[in-house]
Amino acid sequence: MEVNGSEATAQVAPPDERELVRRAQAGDLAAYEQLVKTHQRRVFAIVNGILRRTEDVEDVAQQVFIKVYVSIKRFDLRSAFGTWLYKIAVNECRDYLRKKRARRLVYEADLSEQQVWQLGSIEQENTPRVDAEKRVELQQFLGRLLDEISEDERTMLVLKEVEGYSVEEIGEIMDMNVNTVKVKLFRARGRMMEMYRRRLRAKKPVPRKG
Amino acid sequence: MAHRLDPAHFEDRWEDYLAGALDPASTAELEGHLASCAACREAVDEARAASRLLRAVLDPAPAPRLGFWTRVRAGIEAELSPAGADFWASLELLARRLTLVSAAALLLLGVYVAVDEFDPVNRWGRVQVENLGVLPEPAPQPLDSDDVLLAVTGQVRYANGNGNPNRSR
Repeated sequence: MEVNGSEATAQVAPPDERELVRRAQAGDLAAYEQLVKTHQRRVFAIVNGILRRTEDVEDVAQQVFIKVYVSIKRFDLRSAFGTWLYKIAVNECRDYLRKKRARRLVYEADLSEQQVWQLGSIEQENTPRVDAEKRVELQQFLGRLLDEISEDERTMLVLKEVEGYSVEEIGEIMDMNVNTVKVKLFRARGRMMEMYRRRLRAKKPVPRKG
Repeated sequence: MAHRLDPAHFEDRWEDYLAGALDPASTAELEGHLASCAACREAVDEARAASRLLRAVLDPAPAPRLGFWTRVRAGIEAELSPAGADFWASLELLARRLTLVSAAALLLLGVYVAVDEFDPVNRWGRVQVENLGVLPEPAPQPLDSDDVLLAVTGQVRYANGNGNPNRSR
């Protein structure tokens, strides 16, 4: 994750959260439980945004919260607890991917002609979510596209479009200025579609609007 | 597209435009630009298509399952338990001991090799002496069974027929 000091969102932990952090630092697990419950949804969203493997999300998120507690005494309360926690989540995902890539078997189903047409119709009009059974290959296809853009871009796109976070929330999660998030998000969409068109061109021309 | 870096192409405002978060005047300004700039029009269309694809196909993160906190707490307790700490401490001690033993073994091996190299009666030293031709002549051998008996009784008869090994026959 890019962390630019000048762009970093200046945040101070809310007073009640600071108190919870202090108690957790003193070994109070009940206080830490409250912190976990406050932040678990975002941690799950970040992990899902980076890994895109729903079956692994909970294991990695669990590991994040264990690591955070073990090292919470080192947190100095000068920034928001969430910012510190989300950075640890991003690093944990990177470690996980590094280990996973070393032994990952690459098998990804190719798209059928029908699926190519289906994607074409989705991109041109607001389609309700595709049925779960038809979605697996399409998810793999989009997954490959997302693998070709940077980790920041991928995380932002998933947080915005899939998890429904606002650009302000994404800025807070990724420790970035809101305007930077807006520009990067717009570019990420363009980059993803560039890959998408390139891959589909090799298969079958998709009818374009206009 | 390089032109997108140009502030005239509003790169930092398209996200708000797509979200419908701009005031009417700004929206009209951007739409006026779209009407005249094919590249921006295409970029905005592609951004919309990307959103539609991602929303329709990808799954949001699963919600934490029941008992998530219980599993986190169990993980924390295991991490901080004395048993866990003892395990790492004993592993560290074992590693230190292994290092010491390996160092001692290496030292002994080094000493052995050094001594072996310079000892003239060892196997390698003998080879060197043979090569130099300075090996002493072998001791005189008894000639027959009588000689063996004489040798046993201490009265050695040598190849020259008498008791003096230096006189020829």
